[in-house]
Amino acid sequence: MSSRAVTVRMYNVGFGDCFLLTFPKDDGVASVLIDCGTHPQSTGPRQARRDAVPQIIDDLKAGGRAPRIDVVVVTHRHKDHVSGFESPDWSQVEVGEVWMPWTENPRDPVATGLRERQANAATALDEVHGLLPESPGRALAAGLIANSLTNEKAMTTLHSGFAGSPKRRFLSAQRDPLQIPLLPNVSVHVLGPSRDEKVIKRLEPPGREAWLHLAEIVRADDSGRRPFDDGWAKSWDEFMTTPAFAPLRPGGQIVGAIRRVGGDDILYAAAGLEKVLNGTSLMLVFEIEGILLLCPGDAQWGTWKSVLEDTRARELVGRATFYKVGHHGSYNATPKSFVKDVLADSAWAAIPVAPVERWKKIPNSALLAAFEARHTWVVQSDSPPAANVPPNVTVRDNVSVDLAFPLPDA
Amino acid sequence: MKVARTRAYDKFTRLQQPYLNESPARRPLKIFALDPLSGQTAGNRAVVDVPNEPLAPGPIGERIKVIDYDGTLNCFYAPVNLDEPPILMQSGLEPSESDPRFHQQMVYAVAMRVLENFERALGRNLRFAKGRELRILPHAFRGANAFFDPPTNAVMFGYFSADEGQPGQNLPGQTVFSCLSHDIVAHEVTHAMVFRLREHFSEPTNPDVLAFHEAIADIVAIFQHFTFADVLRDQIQKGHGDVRAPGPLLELAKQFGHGTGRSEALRSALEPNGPNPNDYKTVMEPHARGSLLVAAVFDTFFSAYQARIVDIVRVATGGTGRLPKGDLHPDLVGLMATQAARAAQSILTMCIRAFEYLPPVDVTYGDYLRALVTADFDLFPDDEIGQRAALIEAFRLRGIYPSSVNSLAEESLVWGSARQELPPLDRSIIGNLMTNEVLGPPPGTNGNRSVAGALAEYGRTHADALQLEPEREVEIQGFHPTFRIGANGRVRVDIVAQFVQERPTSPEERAELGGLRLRSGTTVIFSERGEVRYLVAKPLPEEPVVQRGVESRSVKGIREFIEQADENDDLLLWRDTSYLDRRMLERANFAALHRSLGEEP
Repeated sequence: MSSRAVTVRMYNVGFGDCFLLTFPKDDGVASVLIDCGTHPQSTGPRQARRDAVPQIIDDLKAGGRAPRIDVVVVTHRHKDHVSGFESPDWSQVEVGEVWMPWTENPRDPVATGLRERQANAATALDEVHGLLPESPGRALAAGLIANSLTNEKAMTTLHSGFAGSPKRRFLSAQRDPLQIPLLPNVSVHVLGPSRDEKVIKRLEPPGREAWLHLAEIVRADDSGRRPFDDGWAKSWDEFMTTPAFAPLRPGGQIVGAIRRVGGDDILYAAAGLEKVLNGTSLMLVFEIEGILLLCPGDAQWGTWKSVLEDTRARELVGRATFYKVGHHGSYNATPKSFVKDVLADSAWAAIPVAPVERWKKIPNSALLAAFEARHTWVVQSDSPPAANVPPNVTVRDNVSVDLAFPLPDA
Repeated sequence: MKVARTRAYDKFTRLQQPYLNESPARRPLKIFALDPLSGQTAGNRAVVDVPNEPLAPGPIGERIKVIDYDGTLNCFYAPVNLDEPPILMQSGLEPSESDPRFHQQMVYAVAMRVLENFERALGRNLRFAKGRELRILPHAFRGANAFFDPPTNAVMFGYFSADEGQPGQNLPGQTVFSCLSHDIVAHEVTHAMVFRLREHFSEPTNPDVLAFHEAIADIVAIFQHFTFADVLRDQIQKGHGDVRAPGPLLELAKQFGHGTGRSEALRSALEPNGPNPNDYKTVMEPHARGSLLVAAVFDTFFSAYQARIVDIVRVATGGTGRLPKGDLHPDLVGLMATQAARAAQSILTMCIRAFEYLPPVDVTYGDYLRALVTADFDLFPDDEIGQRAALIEAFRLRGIYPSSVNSLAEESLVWGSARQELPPLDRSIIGNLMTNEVLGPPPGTNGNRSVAGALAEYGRTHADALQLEPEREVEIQGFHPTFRIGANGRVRVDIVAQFVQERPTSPEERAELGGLRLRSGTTVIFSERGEVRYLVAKPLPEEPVVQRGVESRSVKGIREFIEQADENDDLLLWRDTSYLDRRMLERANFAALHRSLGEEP
């Protein structure tokens, strides 16, 4: 096997993303860390902050080196992509550059407005959620809201932490690839998020009308919020026991139908917010000597659509050697047409995931079948293969999986 | 001294002439013609009359029951007694936002008008099964929404506080009642009517099914605006004769839109950018897709209105046809308003009448166009003012073509019949059905059950010609005679019957289908002599059959549609199994509010 290789290391962080890429250069390798986070509802033995962060630092120190990463990339600010950066240990790691999507730029008024609205929506939803009575919709919404909260601590590390005073870049889709001295010979194609006005519109949090009233429901005891003067109302007990009103009693089915209304609203709002933040994902392709690593974060259909409709971008993602499967293998982050018609045969793919009991659709079985049809070799972070491991793959127990893509000797 | 109301008094004062003993035919009731926000708009406080019927407090009528239960606060509001003399004397309670009894009165009145519009157009009474009367809950929950719930046959209205930040024309925090919006009430009650007429149209088997539901609901709400004479006159004056000028006539649920921070009405009959033939291929969200059909129908109305006023305008302008600048003469406005109201009623009637010509399952816009053309052609073979031509053109402009015809000529759009293959219905079936309908079932008989049995037998015997599967049970979804006045003032009697089959599915298969059943069905319109006049079939082969270059519906097509709906569902990922197994049915909840998610802006 060639001594020069591009490597992709997927750390097991449960339901969350954490990847370390290395590219050969004259004196060793250049390294890129993409995301480090675990979902609050993840199960599984490994977590980003507790397990992966010390592991990464140990790995970086191997051979007595000072821990250093050339570029840290955060695709978007969801907990399952950033929670690891809450760790204080990052202060000992020297970082060259930190890349984030343009929506995180503190000096961009459009981004700041979006962020504030997204953060306000998340906080307000979280508050309302805490007050709502128990319901199936509420239970399903809990994890989504927790994932979308501002994650201030982690973001502080990314904006002002690390050793070595790294340069911060806020990226948006651009025509020409990014080339920086820290990553010699590597071209980084930035495919998303776009600054297109239409795309920005999709990044707005769900309309307040979808959930605003929930706050009022929980404040319903406040008589100022009652729709009519108290004299017009009779309590349930009084009404239901008055024989004269018998024909006006609502059946149990009707009462049940009304009860279900609010539970769905909070789920709608929470899922909407989740999607909006996913939509801010950085979508990158790292290209070096014919090896292409496609890392879309959790990009949504909007970003994918503009990529697949653009001849150059479509051709580029079609040449991907390796694909980091978007959003833990869910159906909404990998267009079917991409796997079916665009992705090259016999590519390599990695799904960072741990099954969460209530999310049975993640990872999506139809997507896995589509990969199989294209002879894509797919590895899941929580269940790497024990046997029949291809020669370029190295499995380290349940800690990480390495994929190596050889380059011709220099 | 007071004369006591005794039996003797009643006997003495009740004259023998029967007409004085008849209760009045109509009951006048006050409503907001638009909604409370439109307080300043002329004619917003309107008196409408509805068919009179005995009412109990609620009100509870024969088919409509208003239950004022508030599920959020778990309490009840005092039910109105519309027969109380002080209320009767003033044509119902005065419009008021703070009196829940007025709200009950308004939902009852608007619902009765919708019901009446359906009954008049269809030429028959719409009954509900016993214990399944239409329930209306004007304050069911706190929330910016309203919906029809098929399992309970109930329409639920929400109330909410106007957006504190962007209240529009409301006061910040003001309570907005969706039940005080004529449009929202008419919209939701229409969902109930469509469900009553075509139960299986709440099973989304193609992108048009739910959109059709939304479109009909909006069409009824908008065309009912034209029955409010003062609003109409005011708008004709303001629009200088043009009923397309933006304004309350064509807007839906203005207060609701403003209250939810939109700064505009919820929807409108007009397309902001004119018709676009691509929309039919790309717009999938049911309300937005429904708006395409609404716009097509409204275009047809506008052509009809223009054709109706052209002579009036000529007379008023000394033959030039060009209206002078400035205000129009009030008499001219009155004449134009009359024509607008007639055109609106005629289009609304046409839209509803077409239901008799729709298949029992899996409706598409193309089917609806064919039903509209057939229904209108059937009663009025001459298209005097070019209404049908305008209709076909309006659909064409929006890229809506029926999949099974090779031209948009009227004669290819009219549904065909299978006269040669299908023998006439037995005279005894028709006889029994007519007797039951007109005189009521004779004592000692089982009513219409034997008619249903005989029709089912007919369906089984002639399954092949009905494009049903011969080996399978045939269910009679509905059958009834219709009595209508056609051209030449003749009474037309037809018998409409719907034959439905269901292909058995395993629980696993049903979960895959999101709870949908695999149904095929055929609607047959028989003449009074039992001959087949029209046959509207929706068979369901496994694979699509290509016919004249167009694919038929198929199980495969339904699966593809489910897949597409799944892809557009942002929530699917986060749902539990109990939802997933029923997801197609859950998607069919008829909420007034656009879900702001999953729409491409």
